[in-house]
Amino acid sequence: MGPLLACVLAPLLLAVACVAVPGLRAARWFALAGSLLTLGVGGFALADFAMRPGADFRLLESHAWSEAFGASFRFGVDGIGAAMLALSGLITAIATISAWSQERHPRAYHALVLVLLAAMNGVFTSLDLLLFYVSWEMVLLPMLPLVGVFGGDQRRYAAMKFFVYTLAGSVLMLAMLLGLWNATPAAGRTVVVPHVVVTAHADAATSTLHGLPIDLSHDGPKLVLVPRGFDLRHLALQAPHFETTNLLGVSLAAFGFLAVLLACLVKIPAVPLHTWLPHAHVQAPTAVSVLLAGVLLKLGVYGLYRVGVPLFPQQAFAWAPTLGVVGLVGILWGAWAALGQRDLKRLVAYSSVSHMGFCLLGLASGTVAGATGGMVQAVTHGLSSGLLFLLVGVVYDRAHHREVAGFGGLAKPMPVFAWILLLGALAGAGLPALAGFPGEFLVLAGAFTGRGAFPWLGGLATLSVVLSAAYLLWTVKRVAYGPLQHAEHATYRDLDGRERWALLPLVALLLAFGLWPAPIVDALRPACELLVQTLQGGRP
Amino acid sequence: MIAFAEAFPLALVRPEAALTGGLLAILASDLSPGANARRLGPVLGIVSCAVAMWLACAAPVGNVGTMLAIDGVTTLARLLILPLTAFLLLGGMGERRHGNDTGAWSASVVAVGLGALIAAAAANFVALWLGLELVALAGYTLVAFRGGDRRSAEAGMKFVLFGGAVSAVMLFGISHVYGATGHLDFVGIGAAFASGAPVLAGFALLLAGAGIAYKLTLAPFHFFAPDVYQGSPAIAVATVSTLPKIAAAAALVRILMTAVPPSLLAPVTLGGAIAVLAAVSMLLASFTALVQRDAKRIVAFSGIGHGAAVVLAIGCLPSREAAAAAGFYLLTYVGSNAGALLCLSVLERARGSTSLADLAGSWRSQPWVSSLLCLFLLSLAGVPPLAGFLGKWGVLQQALAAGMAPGGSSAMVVAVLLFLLATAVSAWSYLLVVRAVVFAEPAAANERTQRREPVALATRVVLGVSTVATFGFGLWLDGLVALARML
Repeated sequence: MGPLLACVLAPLLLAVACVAVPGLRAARWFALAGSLLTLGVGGFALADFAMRPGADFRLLESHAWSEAFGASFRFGVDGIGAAMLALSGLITAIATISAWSQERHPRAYHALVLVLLAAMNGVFTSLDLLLFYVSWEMVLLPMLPLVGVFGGDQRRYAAMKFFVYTLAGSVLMLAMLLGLWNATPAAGRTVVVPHVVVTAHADAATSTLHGLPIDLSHDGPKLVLVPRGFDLRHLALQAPHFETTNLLGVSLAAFGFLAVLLACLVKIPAVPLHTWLPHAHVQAPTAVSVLLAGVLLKLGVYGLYRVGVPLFPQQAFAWAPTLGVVGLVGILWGAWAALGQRDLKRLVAYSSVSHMGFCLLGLASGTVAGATGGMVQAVTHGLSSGLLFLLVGVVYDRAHHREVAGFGGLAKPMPVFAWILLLGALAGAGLPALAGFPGEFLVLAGAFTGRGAFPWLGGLATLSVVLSAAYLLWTVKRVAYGPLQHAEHATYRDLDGRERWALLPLVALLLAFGLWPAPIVDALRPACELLVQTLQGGRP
Repeated sequence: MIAFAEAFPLALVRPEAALTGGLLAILASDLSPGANARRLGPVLGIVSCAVAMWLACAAPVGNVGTMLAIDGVTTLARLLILPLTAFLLLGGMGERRHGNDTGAWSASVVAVGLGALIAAAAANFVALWLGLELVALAGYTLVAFRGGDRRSAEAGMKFVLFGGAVSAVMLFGISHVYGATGHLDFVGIGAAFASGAPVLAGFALLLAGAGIAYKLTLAPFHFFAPDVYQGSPAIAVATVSTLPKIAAAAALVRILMTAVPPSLLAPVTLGGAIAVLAAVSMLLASFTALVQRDAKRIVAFSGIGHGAAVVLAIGCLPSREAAAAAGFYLLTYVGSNAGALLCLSVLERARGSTSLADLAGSWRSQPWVSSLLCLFLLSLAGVPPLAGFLGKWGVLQQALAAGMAPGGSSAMVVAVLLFLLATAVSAWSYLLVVRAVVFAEPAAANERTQRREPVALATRVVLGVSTVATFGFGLWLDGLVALARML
């Protein structure tokens, strides 16, 4: 068993242990252990990619599943997968610490978080489309009770809305999965491998490409026989054939990309498919909000990156301008809606819609800078939104409400809280020297150098820098500064030890990535370069 | 004697014989004066199922005259029906509330199983009709078992009236099939079609198929299901919603494979039409389920949808994988469905009914049973990695393969899209139950809402097996291949 399988299996086994081992204290240690294991593996892989940048897959492992369907438990990460895995471990660890004194059904709670962790890790490390899909769907199972049982007053509605939105998005993906499988002949198909893929992935020592024999000795087009199955890398090689396969008068690729796109846009979430997010966030407990914003939203971006673009590059290329517009609408609409929110959690939720729009814009821009920026933004947004949700949880613990208007002057009784809130807000607003900056900057730089209308989209997206500074700083002002609203607020204690421990890693990383973004950018860029080449290869 | 042995090779039907023996033993034990002997019913039934199962594993294949065909389809049906019957008996032992630990109850369950076995092996309309009638007659008893209860009586009455009418229509069709082709056995009918039977024979065959559509609760023969399920004991619903479906599916496969000419039976012609009808049935069930306010009614509508999914797979015949997909779908369906109904039976005991209002907040008083109920329902909804997902996977894969093959049927692709829509819609109705059970607060904190019903060991065993099946079959891709090899 390799490290990546361990990242999926160990949380599942620990989840069983949470339920099986009596005593209420053990469960949280199990949850912490699972998340730290993930963080360790992800962090190690990320450091490896930062030191030896490359677009290849590492930590590869494969275990038999079904030979008849060509499905295996195939795991492997590139730079982006590694970053997402590390993020998933880190955020889950922090969410576990923040729910350390969970009082309602702690064993069930931590078990569900562990199942969620296993599912997320499965998505981020899977190289098999079926495994990817199963993990993708498995996210729903724990999320349903996590929001529905442990959430606030309207949790039932929120949980069901979340479930049905995402399920509707993914049944189409199931059809796509089967369509792709059926589109490959049983004997496999010989395809010409694009030059960029040969350069990035072919192994000259063994004359193989993604485990398939390939003749590299000649200068002509490189041919490889792709078997029928669900290996994502093998499916990507067949991309041109999906364009020519017909399904009810449209090409399989057109249908498939639309299916992936819908499933991913719901998760990101892109306007107008975002309406589940504010509900789910407001109703979820703090730690689940942190997980939702910190990791789950990234599933959408990751799905487009890992499945949508590589399998259907022509479609992705054709859809790119539209996606850019969708991203821009998300950026501006999220920021504009955040300005008008009175509930702190809704405010942060809408700011997430805005920030995730940058990921989409960057990915769509078709430039290396834009794509890298989008991915960096995905990581740093995980950190900054996690931080903000934790801080909202801190004030909610003390005041038992989240109305912005009900606070004021909290900096006096809670100076450390106020400093961290300011830092989180500035990071969210994209202030240079904090982690929000490199991602947004690269996305805007990418958009300005993009084709067609992308410079215009980039120009309009710049407006959000003003908007996000406005809503975030205005919120900080109303919550932390000015006169104290209520006399009892003066008695609020500042952050306690556990809260500081939960916030400390996020603060440190927000500063570190802001001051020295080179390692993370280095780790992510080669994979993004390959992505952009794939996308450009889809030019008709 | 020799002539009899040739005409009726008992070796082929040992499992059926064993179950018949069990049935007779139960009836005999029920006559005995001792109370303890009367309680032996379920045990005798389970033992006979186990013996039959052991015999079925090593049973030879062949034909019993033109009456029964013991082939791969029969074997698969046996391997589904026999364990299921045993678990239903065991579940009945755990949920003894309506006197269903008596001989009459066990005998009826075993009779449903026996009828299902006969119908699944039938190669002749007479055998099929007899098998289905045995299923129906025993089913009537089970459904109306809560003697004094008005809703149970209403359910029984509806079941009898519907069943009787459908049975008559089926017989009417069979008589015309015989009149038009001169045959009652499927092979003979197929030969008559091949040599140019009148159009009337085709319509007669459709009428004869009504009985099968009814057992699969296919629209427009589905109206009885919600009322009947709502009024009957949950464990009776578990019996009449699963065993007849297996039998009918097996019979449908055999009729399509033998009585219908291969030129007609292809996804581009008849298969596509069957698939679209099935998909419409599914869509109807999923939308109607949305407005239900009783968990057993939701399970009934879900049963309509799942029956239709099996038919969608059967529409992809003559491929062997299609029949295997239908079998696998039934396997995953019966596991989760029986589990869900057993959970509902426990909760019904605690709360008095399975209406969503009465079930509200049962998670607090019975966390395990309620959680398992949700698990089974999510499996029925098709959420991976639970069993229902792989069932759906197999069916969709077959339908898409039929639709995407060169010169494939676009009706199949349409059916797939409708199926997906129905899946997404039906998820909401399962969530209605989940919402009531887990998320909702009990209406009032009274003695009834806080009562914690004990769960008998027998029930626990069945729930445990269902849980293992629900998780275990979810990722067993090779199971589909294994079943196809069996056929």
